[in-house]
Amino acid sequence: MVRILIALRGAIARNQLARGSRWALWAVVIFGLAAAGGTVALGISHGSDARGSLDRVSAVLLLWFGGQLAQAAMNGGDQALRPELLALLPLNRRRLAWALLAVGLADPALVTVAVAYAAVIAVAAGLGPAAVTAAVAGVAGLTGLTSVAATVAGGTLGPGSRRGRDLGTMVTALAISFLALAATLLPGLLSALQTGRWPGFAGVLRALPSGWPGDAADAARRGQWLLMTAALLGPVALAALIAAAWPRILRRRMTLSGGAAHHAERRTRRLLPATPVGAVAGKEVRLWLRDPVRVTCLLIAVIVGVGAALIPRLATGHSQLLPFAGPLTVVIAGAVATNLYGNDGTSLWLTVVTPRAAAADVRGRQLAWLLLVAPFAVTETVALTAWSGQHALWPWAAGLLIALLGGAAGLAALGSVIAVQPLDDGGNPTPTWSLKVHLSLYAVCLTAAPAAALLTAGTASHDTALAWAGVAVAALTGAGCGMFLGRAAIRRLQARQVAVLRLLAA
Amino acid sequence: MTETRRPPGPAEAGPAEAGLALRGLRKAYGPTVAVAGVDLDIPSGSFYGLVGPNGAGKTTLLSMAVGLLAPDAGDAAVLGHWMWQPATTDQAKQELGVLPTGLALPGRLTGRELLTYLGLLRGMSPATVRARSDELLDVLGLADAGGTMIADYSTGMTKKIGLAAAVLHGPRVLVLDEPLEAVDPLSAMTISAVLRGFTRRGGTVVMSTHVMALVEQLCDRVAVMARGAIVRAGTLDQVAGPAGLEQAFLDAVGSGPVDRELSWFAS
Repeated sequence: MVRILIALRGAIARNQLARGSRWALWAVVIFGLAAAGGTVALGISHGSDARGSLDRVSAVLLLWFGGQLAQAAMNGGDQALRPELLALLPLNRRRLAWALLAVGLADPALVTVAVAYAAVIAVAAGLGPAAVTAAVAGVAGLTGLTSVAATVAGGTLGPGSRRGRDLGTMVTALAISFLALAATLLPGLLSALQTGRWPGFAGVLRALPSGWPGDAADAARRGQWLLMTAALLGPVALAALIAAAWPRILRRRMTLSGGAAHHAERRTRRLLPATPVGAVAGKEVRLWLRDPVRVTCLLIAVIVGVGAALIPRLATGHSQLLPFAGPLTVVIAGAVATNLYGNDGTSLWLTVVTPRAAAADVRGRQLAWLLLVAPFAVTETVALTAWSGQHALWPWAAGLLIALLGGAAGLAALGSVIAVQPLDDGGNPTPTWSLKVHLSLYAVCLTAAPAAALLTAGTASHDTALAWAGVAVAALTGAGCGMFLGRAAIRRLQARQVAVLRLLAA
Repeated sequence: MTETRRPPGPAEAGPAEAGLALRGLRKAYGPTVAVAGVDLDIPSGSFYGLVGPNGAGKTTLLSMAVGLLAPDAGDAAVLGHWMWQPATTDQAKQELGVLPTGLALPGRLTGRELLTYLGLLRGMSPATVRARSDELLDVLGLADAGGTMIADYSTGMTKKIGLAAAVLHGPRVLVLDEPLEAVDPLSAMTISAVLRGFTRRGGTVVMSTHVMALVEQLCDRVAVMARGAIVRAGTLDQVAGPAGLEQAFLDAVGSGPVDRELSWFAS
């Protein structure tokens, strides 16, 4: 059965790839291998203190281990071989569960993880043959544990209630963005671990499964064979425990069909005007708050915007970035909104069959985005700028915020009707979706260029009036971008809505 | 069946007596011709069935007729308003209610929210939208599911909310692609009654389906489509003849033997 399932997954993955972009896949593969290579390089360039070096590598291995589990949980497991595909076959559930675990071990992506884990072997290479042997065995055990744990983590988020799945997806994505932010502190953290300055944190890292290969290598170096054996058997025992629970989890996933439906029957007071634009804005606000992809994007904008400005303040005491938290939030929130029609899929047909709906659709989407982003960004900017005590930066904060709010509102509309990127079959963003969003980050920034030029000139010449003139220009460019880019989006949608619908339906 | 094969000129009005008139509609995907220049008049006030085997081109034809797929050639007129002429597109869409197949609804809106959104998008007053939504949800048996997200609906419930969305604005022509697919018998009877009432008041219904019994029960006219072309069209009696619609369908599409058995069933 394992051989058949591996062949089936291969065939499904090939068909999915045939529809996607080949170069985007290669970009993902190269990025993954480069990250794994970087981890190995960290192991090779270890310091003189062996335990500190192992702790340093264990910290990075924790990111890999956690990342694998989080990704599996967020995607609901193997996207190519979903257990639901096999639900109607007369297969023994326990046998199927074991087979799926075995198929998980044959996942090509696991090679990248194993390469990254080999950083422990690189450190152990300088600690004698016993340490190397223990490290190799430890890495093999951790790789197996990662595969088993990822398969089971993916299975826990099956077709239960939609609200539960949405929440799971959102929480996992947020955990990843927190992790990414924490990674900005990584260089300082690794240095502290190398020199043994944070013994408590190092203890936690050693106790976690990702630290066990390092523990095994260290114990082998010291000749503590009992401890080494425990560290090597740990992943095996944990994998066996998780695997024992897997058939029950799989049965639950395959037998639950719809779960509890979400009821939102509340006659709420209408806050938006009862017009076509108000109707679209109301619909869009609901989708921004209910669609896990959309709400996760917004929350990431908030977390990264606040975090990127706050972390330097907390880590080094520098508060110069605080006034720019709001503008950064707007840039990210704008960039993630540049593929709205792609995100919505074929429900665009409702707009196509409604007369004169394109203009209302574009303006309503702009209004909804502004209603969700602007109040938070303004509050964030005012609060953090006041807290920073950097009063000279008020024109910068205000100017960039205003210019970017208008610019992003315009660009989100126009970007959404250009190079529309459909989501994948599981409703998740594709690599080309990510590429579009990354390019949009720069495009949104460019909309504030005129205001930034005047602000720079005002700051350089110590001319406060000139700096505040930059704010006035920001208001003009912001309003202009929102208005004219939105108008361009309306024209393009009117002209190409049927073609876009066909692209999404393909 | 066929009045003229000439596609309309820019200033030419469509045939006003037809609820839906198709003129030279054609669509090809590479070398595969999905719809091969179809002409068809669907009289106003008729309940028109469109039948054909899988892959005959029914969905492609209806998608072009309602503005969801750009034709390679030809046009469709809704009560005389051409769908693909910019000057009359809005009028055509105003008169039309559409239930397509294979296209999504916003899954994270509730049924009631979807109807409110569509009603206001079409410029209807909030009071009218609310009253019609209440009535539609009640008649279609969705009153208890009005606050449930559409993504949590069954296939049949999704068809029903799609039908509600199609009729909400009071169109005069309804184009429904497989409207009763996956709908339970009780709901099918309710929907059938709603559609009959619609035609009794002068509305036109065009419905594609695979179920011949449904066509015989509901439709007064029928067209049989095969290999991208209309091979028979007329009143139900004209098309069905004395042998019945199913036999007429098999004759029209030129099927092979349909009573074959599988060899291993015998063992």
